[in-house]
Amino acid sequence: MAYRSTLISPTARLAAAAVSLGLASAIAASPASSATLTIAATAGPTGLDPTTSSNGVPSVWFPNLTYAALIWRAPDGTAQPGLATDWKYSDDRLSFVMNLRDGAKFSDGSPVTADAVVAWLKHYKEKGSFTAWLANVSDISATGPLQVTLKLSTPDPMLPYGLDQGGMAGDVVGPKGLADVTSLGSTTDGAGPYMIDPGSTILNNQYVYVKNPYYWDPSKQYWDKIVIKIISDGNSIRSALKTGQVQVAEGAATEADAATAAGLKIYSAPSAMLGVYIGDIDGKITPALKDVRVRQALNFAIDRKGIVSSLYGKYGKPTDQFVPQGIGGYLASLEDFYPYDPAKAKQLLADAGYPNGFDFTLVEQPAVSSGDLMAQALVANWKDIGVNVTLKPTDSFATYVPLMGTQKYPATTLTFNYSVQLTDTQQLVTNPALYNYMGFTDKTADDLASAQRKQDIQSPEGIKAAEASETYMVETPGLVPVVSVDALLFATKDVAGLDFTTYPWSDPTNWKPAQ
Amino acid sequence: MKLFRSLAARIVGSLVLLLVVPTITYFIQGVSPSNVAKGVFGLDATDAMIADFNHRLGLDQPLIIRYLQWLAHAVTGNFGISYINGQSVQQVLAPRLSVSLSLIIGAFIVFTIAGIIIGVLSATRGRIVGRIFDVISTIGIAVPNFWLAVILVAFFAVALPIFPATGYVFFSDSPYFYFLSLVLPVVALAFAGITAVAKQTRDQMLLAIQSPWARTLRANGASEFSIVYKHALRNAAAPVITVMGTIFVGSLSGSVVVENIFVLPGLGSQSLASALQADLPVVQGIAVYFTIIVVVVNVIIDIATTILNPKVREP
Repeated sequence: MAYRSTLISPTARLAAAAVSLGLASAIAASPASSATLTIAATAGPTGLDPTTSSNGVPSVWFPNLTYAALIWRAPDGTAQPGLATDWKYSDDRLSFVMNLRDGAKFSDGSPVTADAVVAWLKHYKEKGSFTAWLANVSDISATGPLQVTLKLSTPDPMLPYGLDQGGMAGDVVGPKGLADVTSLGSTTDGAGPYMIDPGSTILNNQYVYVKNPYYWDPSKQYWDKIVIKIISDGNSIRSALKTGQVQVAEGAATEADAATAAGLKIYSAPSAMLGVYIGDIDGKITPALKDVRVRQALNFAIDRKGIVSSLYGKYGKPTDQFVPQGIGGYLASLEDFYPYDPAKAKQLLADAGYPNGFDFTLVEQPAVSSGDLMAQALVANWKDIGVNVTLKPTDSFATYVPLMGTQKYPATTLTFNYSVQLTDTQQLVTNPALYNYMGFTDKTADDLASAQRKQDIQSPEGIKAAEASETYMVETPGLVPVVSVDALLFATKDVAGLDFTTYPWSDPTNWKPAQ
Repeated sequence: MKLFRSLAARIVGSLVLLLVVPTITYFIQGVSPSNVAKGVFGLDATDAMIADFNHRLGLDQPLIIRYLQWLAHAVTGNFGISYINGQSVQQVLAPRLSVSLSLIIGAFIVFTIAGIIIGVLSATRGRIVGRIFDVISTIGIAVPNFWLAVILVAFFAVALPIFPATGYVFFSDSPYFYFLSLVLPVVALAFAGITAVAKQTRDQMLLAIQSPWARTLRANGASEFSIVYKHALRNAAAPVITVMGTIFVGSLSGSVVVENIFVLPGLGSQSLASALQADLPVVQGIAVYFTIIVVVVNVIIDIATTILNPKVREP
């Protein structure tokens, strides 16, 4: 508030000082009364309802504050009690039993019961944005007042991920909210530490959260109020941080140097793979893409190091893999599997019967970091081996998704947020898969996914199975991974607890006032 | 009599505009390739989910039916509900209207007062001053408001922490901080307008001051002050007001950029966000609000220019 004193008269200054003193007294009397955390996000949520919430940052910040997940993924990646205090697969891995926290309540004051959780999970399985998490769940039932059992049609070790704060399926909405789903666009009914203040919230401008009076652990409610401001302009974010209007902001690699120069702290961790997804593996639109040698040629033709150095700097790393170091499935031996080698790429094209190259159209997915520039660099690299690519930009997911649904385009750029290797396999190369818009079937990929599903993700056997999938996906490419990018947070020194890893994504419920 | 006939014709024309603009907007949005259901549910959306969503919001109806339903509700002031958060469009836009009006009316006041003062001074204070204002005018028109906004923030919010870098304070919360939060956005939005109004004022004033009737007044012993501020300014006013109206309407589009940079919760920033989310009812509501603003401003300009034009005032 330093800017006030330069404008106002001495009398007004006295009045302001009196007000400030009064405010200071109030703060002293109630240490937490003015504790507001203001966060800047570059985009608003599609809605506040976790049923339709997107994942990744910043989308998960909005539901994370208000909806306690059944399983809480700690910053170190371990699964810990959330609304469920413990959970277990049966010996045959065909059922998953969760025991719920006794005494937990939704923000409307009603208790969290097995019936409420069952109603939510059934709702999410039918209407959720990531309903694939529950695709193998054949039955959901209350097996006690505080016990829920999921029956599985086939083993699925991903449930603890689908039910954590990044998966969305575990963000239980209370019965009152479920009875009026339209209201969930502007109000909340979760059992998380905060709840939305609809009166102070302005769609796509600021989202104001206040304490949930029924939250089971008040010691984790670090702030009286949390405000998420939507600031799309990088300059405005930096100015807001520098002037103290915002304490934490979603950062961008292109702004990192300026943020450092401004005295801000930077937190980062590998967060996503950016590259190209080839949907037309069967060659229905572009016959050349059916040949694996052609897809390998497309990988060899890319100067990843050059692209990373010019577009992503130290917060990007060239990659031809689908998970980063530290996630099960990553293999050092696969690093630089496709070195920049246009000659080899041309030879592979010739071997596949395309010595003069071929043409195809590449759809640009919105919201890929520096995506337009990356796409142009790819076009230039591929042109060098005779492959002519026409770019088709899209401005929003509301345009992009139906465009891909037309099945007229063989490939698209993409951002793929990291979690575990099985997510990559199941969402990219199996049938069905989230990205498999052309409906191709790769039996080897399906078998490798099945093998992974039979093991616990973190077990040695699970990691070995993940490595097998990763190896297959790299050696028999259906994608052209280009860069592994970091997620960044810029913050003032007033906030602690911001360290995060690849997964879970940064979570504002962990952020607390610095001592 | 002529004044009232002219106004009546303008108001009837405005009503037509109020129907035509939202209609065109509706059909352009209706045929755009965006699909709000797929935007909301993403790549994982099943046909059943999309069908349920579309049915709930009436999007499974033919476009013409949806339009007629929208129109029937719109004439009663009901613009539907936001596809994104389920609130009524009026609820979404009500707080934003006051923000946008504060911004563009603030900019209007600034570019009017500053532009006219600068224009009159440059017309009456000799060649060198006039040339300086010419150069400043050219720069002012050339400087984009987003660039100016960034510079203003760098100087007056970051280097000299006088004004807030971003954000908006509602008048009801604090009149003082309300004005403070508007200063930089208003200046950024008004700057090009100041120079345009100044240039128009200067040119019109020079024409008036050098006109035969001004020479006659001087020959009859009228003071220079009276000629400039009583007679010339009034004669120059009509074209200046027309330019001011054009700038005011143009500032609606300028506000989209300025609101985004200063993170103001106005109609402009909402229009951009809603268009990207394919939240068509909100976009449509904003189109109606903007059309009403344009219509009202045009009517006011017509009244002002009619009053200032003696030929129109004659019976």
